[in-house]
Amino acid sequence: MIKFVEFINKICAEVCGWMLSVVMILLIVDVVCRTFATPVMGVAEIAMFVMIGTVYAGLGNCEMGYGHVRVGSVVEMLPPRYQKICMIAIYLIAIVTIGIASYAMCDNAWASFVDKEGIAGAVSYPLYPVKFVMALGMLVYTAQLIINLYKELRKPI
Amino acid sequence: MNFTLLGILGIVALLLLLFAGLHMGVDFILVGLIGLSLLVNTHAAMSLLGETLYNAIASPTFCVLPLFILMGAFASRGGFAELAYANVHKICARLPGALAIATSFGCAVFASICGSTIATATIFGRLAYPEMKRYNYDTSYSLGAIACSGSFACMIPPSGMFILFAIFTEQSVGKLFLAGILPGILTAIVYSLSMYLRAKLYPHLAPVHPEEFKVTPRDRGKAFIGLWPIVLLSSIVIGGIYTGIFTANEAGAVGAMGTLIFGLIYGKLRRIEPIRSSLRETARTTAMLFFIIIAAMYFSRFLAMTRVPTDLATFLAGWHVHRHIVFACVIAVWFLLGMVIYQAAVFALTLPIIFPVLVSLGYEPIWICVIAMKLNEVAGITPPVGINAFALAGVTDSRVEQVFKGVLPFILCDVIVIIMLFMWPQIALYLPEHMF
Amino acid sequence: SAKTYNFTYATNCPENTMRGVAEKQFLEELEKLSNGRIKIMPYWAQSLVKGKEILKSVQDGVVDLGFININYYPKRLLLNGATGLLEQGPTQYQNMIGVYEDIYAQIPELTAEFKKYNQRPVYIYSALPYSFSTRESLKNFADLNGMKARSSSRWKLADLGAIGAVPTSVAFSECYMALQTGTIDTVLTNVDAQSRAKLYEVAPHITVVKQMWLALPFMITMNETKYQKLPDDLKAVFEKARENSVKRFTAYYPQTLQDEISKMESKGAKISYASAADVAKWVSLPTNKNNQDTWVKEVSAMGAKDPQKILQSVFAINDKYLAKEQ
Ligand code: NA
Ligand code: NA
Repeated sequence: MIKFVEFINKICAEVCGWMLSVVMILLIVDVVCRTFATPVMGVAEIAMFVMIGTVYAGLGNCEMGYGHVRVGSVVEMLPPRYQKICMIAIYLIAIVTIGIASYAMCDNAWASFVDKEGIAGAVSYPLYPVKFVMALGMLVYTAQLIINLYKELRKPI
Repeated sequence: MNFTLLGILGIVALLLLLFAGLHMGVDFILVGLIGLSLLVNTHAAMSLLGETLYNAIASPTFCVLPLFILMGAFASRGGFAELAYANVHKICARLPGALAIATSFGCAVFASICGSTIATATIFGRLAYPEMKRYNYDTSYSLGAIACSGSFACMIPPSGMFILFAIFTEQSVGKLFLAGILPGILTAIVYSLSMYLRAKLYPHLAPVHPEEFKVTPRDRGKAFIGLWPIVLLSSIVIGGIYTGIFTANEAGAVGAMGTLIFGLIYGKLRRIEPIRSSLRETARTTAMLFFIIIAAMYFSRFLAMTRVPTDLATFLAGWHVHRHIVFACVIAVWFLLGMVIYQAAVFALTLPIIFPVLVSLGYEPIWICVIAMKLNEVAGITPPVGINAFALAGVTDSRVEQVFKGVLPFILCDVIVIIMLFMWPQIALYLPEHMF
Repeated sequence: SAKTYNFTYATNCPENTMRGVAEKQFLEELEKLSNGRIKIMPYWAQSLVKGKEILKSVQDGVVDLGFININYYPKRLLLNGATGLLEQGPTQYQNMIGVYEDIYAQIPELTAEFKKYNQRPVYIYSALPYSFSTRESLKNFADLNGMKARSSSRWKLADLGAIGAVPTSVAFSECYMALQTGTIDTVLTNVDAQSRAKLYEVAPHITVVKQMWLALPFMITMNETKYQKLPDDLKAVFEKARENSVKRFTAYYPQTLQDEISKMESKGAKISYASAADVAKWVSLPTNKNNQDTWVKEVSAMGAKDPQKILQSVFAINDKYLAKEQ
């Protein structure tokens, strides 16, 4: 299970990276078309979707590398035993919070799917695909937090 | 429950959890969620969370942010940054704090193409920080310099924030853009002086290398010529924007492509691995940074709901004391709110209330906007909610505490700049009055 | 009962603009007519939620009242988009409001869409007519040929393409810079948005097209659950506040159009008015029909029944009020 989630996170990180180059190329195509020919409608919107997907798909990987910003210096002044208790409490809080946020996101994505929610603009793309990616990203993030809690529990003091 | 009390409790809870080591983004969401549940109800709090997760970043301005970060990564791995800083180091040999000063002016130039303070802070974090480390600069000294110089982006045009202020205050965008130029440059000068003095007084902050004494004027000249790639790339980007080929947002994509091409020509990016790791690293930083932005926005919405910001502004608006006291309190309120609220939200909530009051007290409208922008800059770097500081911590893999520690001396500089603006309003008003 | 109701209101309009005035009048009427039993806490200029979040925010009770721009929800307020296809509209405010009121009274499907999101329209107002801001002067619409033109409406973009301009998509917040540097040459938007965003500073030639109506009913909606909990006398206050505000804004409208135009002029904008020939050219563009067909096709594909009929009703009502002005 742990291996599976971490494998997913590694894949995500790789794909997300390449997606960023897609965003870059899309925007440049937009500029080039506007300058030398007719503007293409809706490229900027696709670039935005890709970017948002990238953010959420990358959350789990970021957690896997302990990359989410936190203030660690206060906790580190505690004796190791209390440090461990503190970290466990923090992971529990984070799991519950991000779990709830994942639920809120799933709920939002589902409503978006039911309504076929579309964006305002020259081309009205459906919003639910990117919202599903966001929801999945949040769930993977929650799973990675659970794994990190498990690792923290197993860590010797 | 009393709204104000709830707002204050929310801030206290946020700080406690923050120091207990909870992840920044989680902290914001948790406190916001509980607060909004108490203020409105759980269903509404959840609904707003779901909406915020998408809408907080669904805008073209945010969309290009990762590309600026990518530009920084390519520039760093492609040898661009190394080349630039090695040359600057040579040109300014024996000048204490030279790299930090160069970074400060580099940010000021970059601000003329980029309106995003976060983008400027991250790109220079990626570019300058490893180079400053290479020359043994002190961590907090370097981080503080980068975080604070990054905030020039909103003062020096183009600036999305000034456009927003123009709408709130019925001022001309063009005049505001002009008004920001001199205060922006002034801030860069004051920062540089402070960095120079600190480096001179405490040499361990920015040690002078023995080799620096061997640099001849001829070497300096050579190094100056060696800066051509930077001049070329900035000319392309600045030229592209001001001739209308691409917008300031799209400059991120062009810049990233430019540094990639440089890396390919220069040689360091001819293998796939450095490109791949640049992309991966950027994706990770983006995820971290955007999640904090989203979460901070959600928390700010909770604080907006408690009405603490609007109540404070309304109180000041109805207070009958000497106008300079009102003005000083306005600054204090903006400073305090800027500490805990996402900066754009501070001014959306309070500027429309406070602005007419200050105008009726006889302060110059354009000047008020410049002062507000100064406080907007400060809000981005003050703890605990300093988005630029988080961005920088993320991109340089350093601790956010270290960034905040480095920021403190610069806040003092900002106070000095505000006092200067107060004593000589012409710093802000000269250009708009004479050039428009 | 003497219970007071504290409501929150979210809008993307800044308080100090023409749209802010319209909304404030309504909120004032509510507070006044209820003798203070209704109190509204407004959040102007997206200071609480963004414009595009308001529909859901009102639905789920994040706020009690909200400003709805139908354009932001092309699928959720699918049928309400029908008004966006109107090209020419009345120039007098009472007739504009007449069109909106008749449309919502006669086409229950439109109100039903709001009901689906647990809210009801409680006030409708209309913005100022369309205008072009151009970098170069616009003697007639033929001059639009080859200009990179920006509009938020996909239908107007199609029209602009048909008239020879190059439709370009740029976010509204980017328009000032884009006009300044020449990324785009012209922005088609209504006069108050033109003035609010100060586009005239960088594209000083403003061509007002009084007959070209931004047929986008600006709505204030209220959470249905909250509304149903009100006692009957306060429900009546909502109706009365609507009536009073329409009267107040009808009196205010002609002046504000003139004021906005003079204000831009005093700041260096060069104002001109589109000729009758240009307006005739615009309303006879082939894209008018194409847009309608596209709309009917897309809306049918989304499962709507007989959108053609809704469109016909909308046009018939508009024609009735247009005839009044002939
Ligand atoms: Na800038
Ligand atoms: Na802050």
